[in-house]
Amino acid sequence: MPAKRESRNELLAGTMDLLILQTLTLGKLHGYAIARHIERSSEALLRVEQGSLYPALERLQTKGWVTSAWAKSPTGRRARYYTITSSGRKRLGEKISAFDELALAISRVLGRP
Amino acid sequence: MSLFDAFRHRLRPLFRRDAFDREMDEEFRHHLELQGQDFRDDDHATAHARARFGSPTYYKEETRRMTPLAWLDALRQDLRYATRNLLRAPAFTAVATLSLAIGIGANSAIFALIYSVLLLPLPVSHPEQLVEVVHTGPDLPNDIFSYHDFQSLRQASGFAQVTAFGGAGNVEAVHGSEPRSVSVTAVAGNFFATIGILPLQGRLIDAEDERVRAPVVVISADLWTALFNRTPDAIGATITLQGRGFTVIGVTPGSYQGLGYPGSFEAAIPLSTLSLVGGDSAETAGANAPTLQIVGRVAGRGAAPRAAAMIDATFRSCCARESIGAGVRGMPAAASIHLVNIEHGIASFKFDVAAMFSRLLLELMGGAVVVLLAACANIATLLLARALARERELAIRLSLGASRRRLAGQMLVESALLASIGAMAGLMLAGLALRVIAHHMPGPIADRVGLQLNGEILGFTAAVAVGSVLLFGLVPAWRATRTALIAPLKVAASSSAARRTGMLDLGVVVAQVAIALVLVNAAGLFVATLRNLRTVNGGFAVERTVTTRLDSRGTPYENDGIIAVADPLLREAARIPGVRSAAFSMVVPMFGGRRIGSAIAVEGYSPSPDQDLTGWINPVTPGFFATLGIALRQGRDFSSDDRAADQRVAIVNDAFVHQYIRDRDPLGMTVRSIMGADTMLMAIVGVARDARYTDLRQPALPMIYMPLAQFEALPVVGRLRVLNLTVRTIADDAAIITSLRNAVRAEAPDLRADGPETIEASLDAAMSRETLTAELASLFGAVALILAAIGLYGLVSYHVAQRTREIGVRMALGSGRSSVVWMVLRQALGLVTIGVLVGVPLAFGGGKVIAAELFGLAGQNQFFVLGAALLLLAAAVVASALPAQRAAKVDPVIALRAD
Repeated sequence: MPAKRESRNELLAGTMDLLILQTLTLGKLHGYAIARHIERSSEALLRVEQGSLYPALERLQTKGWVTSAWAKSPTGRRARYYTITSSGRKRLGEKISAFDELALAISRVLGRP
Repeated sequence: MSLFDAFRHRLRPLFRRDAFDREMDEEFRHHLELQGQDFRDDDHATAHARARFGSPTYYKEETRRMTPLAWLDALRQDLRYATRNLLRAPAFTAVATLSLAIGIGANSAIFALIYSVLLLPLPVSHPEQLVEVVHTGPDLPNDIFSYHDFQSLRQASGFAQVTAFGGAGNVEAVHGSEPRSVSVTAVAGNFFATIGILPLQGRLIDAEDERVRAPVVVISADLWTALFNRTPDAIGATITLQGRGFTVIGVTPGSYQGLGYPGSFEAAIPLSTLSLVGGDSAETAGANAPTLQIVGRVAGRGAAPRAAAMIDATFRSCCARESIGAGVRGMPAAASIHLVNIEHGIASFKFDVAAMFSRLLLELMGGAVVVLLAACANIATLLLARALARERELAIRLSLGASRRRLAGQMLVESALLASIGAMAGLMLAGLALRVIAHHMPGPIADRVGLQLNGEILGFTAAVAVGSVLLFGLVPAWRATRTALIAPLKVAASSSAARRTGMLDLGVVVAQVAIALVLVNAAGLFVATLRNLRTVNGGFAVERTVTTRLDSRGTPYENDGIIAVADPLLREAARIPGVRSAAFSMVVPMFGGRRIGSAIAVEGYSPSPDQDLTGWINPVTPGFFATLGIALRQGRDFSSDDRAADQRVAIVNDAFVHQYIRDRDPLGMTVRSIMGADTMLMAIVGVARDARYTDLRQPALPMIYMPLAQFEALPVVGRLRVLNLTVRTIADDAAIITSLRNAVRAEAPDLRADGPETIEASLDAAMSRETLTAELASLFGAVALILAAIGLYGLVSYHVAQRTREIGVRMALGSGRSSVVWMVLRQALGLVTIGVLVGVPLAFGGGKVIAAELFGLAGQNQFFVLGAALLLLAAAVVASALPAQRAAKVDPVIALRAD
């Protein structure tokens, strides 16, 4: 069981951070909006569970790449809005190039043009 | 996001846990609401939404796990859980805590004892660099130099700094109304700068004070308290020492007790003012009179040998003296210099604490460690039994998603919590124990013994606690990670399939029994040693003797010595009703006194090279042998006519005859004795039986008794200021002690009469070390025995509980109660037998280790091992009696119906 959790964490660390940071470049968003955006823009291929979203947000905040504040949502409810920080943007750039490299490498191995 | 924000963010879940939870709840609720709405809008079924929505608690835990100090939070949870668990099983917690408290407390107490007696360095800067200069000279003690020696050695290269001090002895000090006796040290101007202490108040003596012979005095913190009640007005006040006014210029720190160990620093004056208080200074006694101790600082521990060689060279060229071996073939002609490290203080010649206690303390430490092992073994068994009982709980928690690592962590936290409580309780026990132990320690160091909660002792205790967690906590934790998921959940499985206790549990009990055997055996040996020592014949009368120490220092009798009032005092003492005889002597068996070592040469005896030619001198008055019950084997006692300087006589003991005279006739033989500057020739007029003066287990040393009158006439060592007066009474009578004190007061009102006590009392005091050992060893043995019995009881009860069904079947098939009882007993006895077999070689090994402390038990160890084994078997029967009874009461019908 611990092994499984580890691998999921790795996946989280690898791609979830990337997806969240990219999403937050759109502006201030609350957690659900982040999840919806990822789902929609992936055309429902990616599903973001609460169980991975919030831990990831917590981790990103701890690293100082994302910051959050409570604010009124359009529906009038209080919600926590997440914003990307400048160090988060820098990190996003690095992550994107790392992902590009990885994608290129994998497709080369798989023999795709 | 500022750095501060990030930092605050990190700490948030830790300190504002409630807020953290609330916010997260709110956030999840919000998420869920929006999700619900979306699903309603979508075509998907509501069921799908429910399915997609997981447990918020789980999410929260996951989120919390991401926070940086999550482990601290988890630790807090584990601690709370552990506390609840321990509170839920009060009996277990009490037994475990108590066992640990005893185990850890014993270790802390003995360590604190070792620390305060052996390890405590002098409270000066870099004590490891301090050395004392000693020489293998013609007389003992050999660390006394003359003023001339000091001035010469000052020039020697090798020292970083060198200084000297000399005792002025006890001096009458007056401040205010009450005169008191104060021990005064005279120090060279650079003394305090060399040893490196800073004043608590005012300033310390410096080179200028020394140069101008300033009548100034530095007092100890204790004397400051006694005379000035710790007020700053002390600085500048005047204390009259031996009739001369000295200005107080400073106070030394409370930790400073002088360089000696045991230390007794009270006041220091400049060396150049020594003659003002009547000390033997360079002016009064001559530059060559041995009066000073020389202490220096070398670059470091490694530099001492090189420095010693350089100083030795200087010493040989400036101040070399003939050694005792001069003229005797194969012995060095000149004395040589050594440097002795005095990091822990200058060992007292009369009372070398380190030599006296180091071995014993290390043995006790060993005993304490073994007790701790037994305690840990005990807790390990208890924890294992608990872990088995909790298997179901663990399995449930595992299936609910707890990680095995977390479960193991929780088990460890529980053990650590136990150990922490045990350590704290142990420290309290150690504090109590040390107070008791201090009573058994010899006076001069009893003050040092106590529980100082300093870094060393707390660190040691913490290390012991961590060590014990590793010992008893790891196995249950490891077990927790291997809990089977399914089997414990099937209710029937736990009671019907009699699960076998692991070899581990049996092994632990066996180990406990072995440990108990070792300690009980050791306890037996120590107690028997004490008994043997009490019955040993020391060669002197233990009963009906009372001794008092008469001290003339700082009194009007000081200059003439006690000899001036000796005769009237003897007459007065002999007049006390019930007193049969009275005598003066310098040393009294067990009571003590200053022993003078003398280099001796005996007519017709040629020593071998490197032979110790020390003889002990005891000046006595006629009647001493009758008073002390020391038998005269040959010749005559001294008489009042033995006075003339040209007809010196001596009585020697059997050991002396055995070593130097052998089969020749001792009577009339000539002995030459050299004590410092005094040399004398004596004719042997009698032989006394050996009397053991200090250590009952050691054979007597060669001793020369001299008439006090002749000894007093010696120019340098004569004029004794302290003497012991002993009386022998007709009947046992405690009132004699008071009468003796009154008699002294009547005849010499100003003379101090210290501690009139019976030799029996002195003997008790002299055996305090053995008594302490026997008591501690018995305590350790008893604790180990009880721990083993508890461990055995736990295991056997557990087995009986597990085999209830089997026992029921056996009884249903016709087994009698007695055979059931025997079945239970057999298991306990079997375990103890294995433990004993394992322990026997260890017990013999332990007996060898402590052999040096034992007395009169050679070749008897096997009886003690046998006794210990029988005791353990008896303990096994007692420990399994209750479970056996329980087994015998099993009702087959109920037992079989249980499932």
